[in-house]
Amino acid sequence: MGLWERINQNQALINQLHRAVAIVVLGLVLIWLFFPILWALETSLKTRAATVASPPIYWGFDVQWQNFILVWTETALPTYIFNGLFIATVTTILSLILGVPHAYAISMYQSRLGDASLLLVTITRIVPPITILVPIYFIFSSLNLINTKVAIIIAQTAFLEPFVVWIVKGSFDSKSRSLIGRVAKRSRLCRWYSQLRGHS
Amino acid sequence: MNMNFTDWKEYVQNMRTSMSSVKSLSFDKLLLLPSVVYITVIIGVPALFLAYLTVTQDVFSLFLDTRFVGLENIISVLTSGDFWLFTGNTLLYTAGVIGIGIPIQLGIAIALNTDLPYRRVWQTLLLIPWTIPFVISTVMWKLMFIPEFGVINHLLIEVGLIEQQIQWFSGTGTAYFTAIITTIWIMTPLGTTILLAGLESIPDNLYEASYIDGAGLWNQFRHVTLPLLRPALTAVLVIESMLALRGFEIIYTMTRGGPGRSTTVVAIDIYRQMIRNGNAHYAAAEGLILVVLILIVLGIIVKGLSSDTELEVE
Repeated sequence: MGLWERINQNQALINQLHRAVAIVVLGLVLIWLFFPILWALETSLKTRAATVASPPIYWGFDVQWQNFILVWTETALPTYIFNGLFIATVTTILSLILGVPHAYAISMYQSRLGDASLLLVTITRIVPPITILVPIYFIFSSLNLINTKVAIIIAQTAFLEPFVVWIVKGSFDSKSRSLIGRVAKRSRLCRWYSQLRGHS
Repeated sequence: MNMNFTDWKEYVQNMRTSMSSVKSLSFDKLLLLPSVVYITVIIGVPALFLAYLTVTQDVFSLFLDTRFVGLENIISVLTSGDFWLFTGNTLLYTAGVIGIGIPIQLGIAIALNTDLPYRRVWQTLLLIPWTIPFVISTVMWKLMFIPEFGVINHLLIEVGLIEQQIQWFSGTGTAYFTAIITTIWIMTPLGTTILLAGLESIPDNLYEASYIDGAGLWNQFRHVTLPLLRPALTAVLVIESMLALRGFEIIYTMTRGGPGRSTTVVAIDIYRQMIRNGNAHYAAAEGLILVVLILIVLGIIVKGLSSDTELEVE
């Protein structure tokens, strides 16, 4: 057979081998990734005695569904979940409000302030939070803000917002102003606004 | 019209951006001002305060009897033998995470680079370790590592690899291993995604061409895959080493700093100096030195992987 047929046949064999090895590797990796999670789930359904049993019990233990109810009613878990949700939501909204206009301004306009702010954003992403921990702790404690949600929101937004600017800028960079202008002009908000202004 | 590439780039850029002069408070400046002000205040003020803390020292309480001491704090950090121990620990931990983690992630990415059935499903499942908060993942792994009733020891004994229970948290090497394995587990989705994106951008006909030229699998990997993967590899190395160099929660939750201080990394020491000893100036200086350390390591990585170096694997 010709050279090309031989090459294609060999390539097909290699591809099949690749696929078989890939499935085996992925299977092992999936076991490695999910076993801890499943084990933690199993442990959550055991009694305390069953958890510390040695050798460990894999199945055949009394399933304690009430653990989930107890953790909800007898610990402060609802408070923690609410706190977490609240902080995450406010932080995200604040970061978007601050970050998206910033990214738009850097991407669509050129100015010295814009370049300087991009440098600021990049530097902020390199600084490790633990280094800033010491001064932030002092500043917040002198403002009596330790142990409040406000403090966490303020600090988290400061670290999340540069990240938002980075990613959104990348997205804006690939679009041109004329495209954005055209899309905006077709929106109802713009038409309503220009009517309000008395334009045609 | 004779227009070269730079002219064309400028032309396109002028079409899509507009210059805004320094003096005027134009629309775009208004857009970015709140963000810049916020970052400057929330990060900049503490940064200035950090500089202040680093160059001062006080006897009893801050602000009441502080005196300017210049570089004394930095010198006392650098000359304390402990600090170099912690730096070594940090570098060891980072080397373990990168040295073991990146080949694993590369292997997974290569495995995912075929058209498998349900490829998207595998990719989505792979992302899950990153969605779990670090502390929770660490506690999960800690549960498995606890010597008497932990699953890992039990499985190892069942398979016959070891005779006695390994005391994971009592020995330095084993304690490192627990922290490193947990960190790799958590960071796998990150590296795999980036490397997979890099792998997918390599066109297939390059492999065909190299096959015609007589390259087997290993040579194809050496001469086609690795060089073209350089930007993705650099990105993964930079991101993961930065996370590892300043990693606090994983190690602290797992080993509390190791038996004694053998797995204490610089980040943990900063925390201890600040919270346990109340030694704010020392902690501040140490934090500053950590930033310098990170920048040095980053510089080495980027320089080492720049286009002038050969990326050959023997």
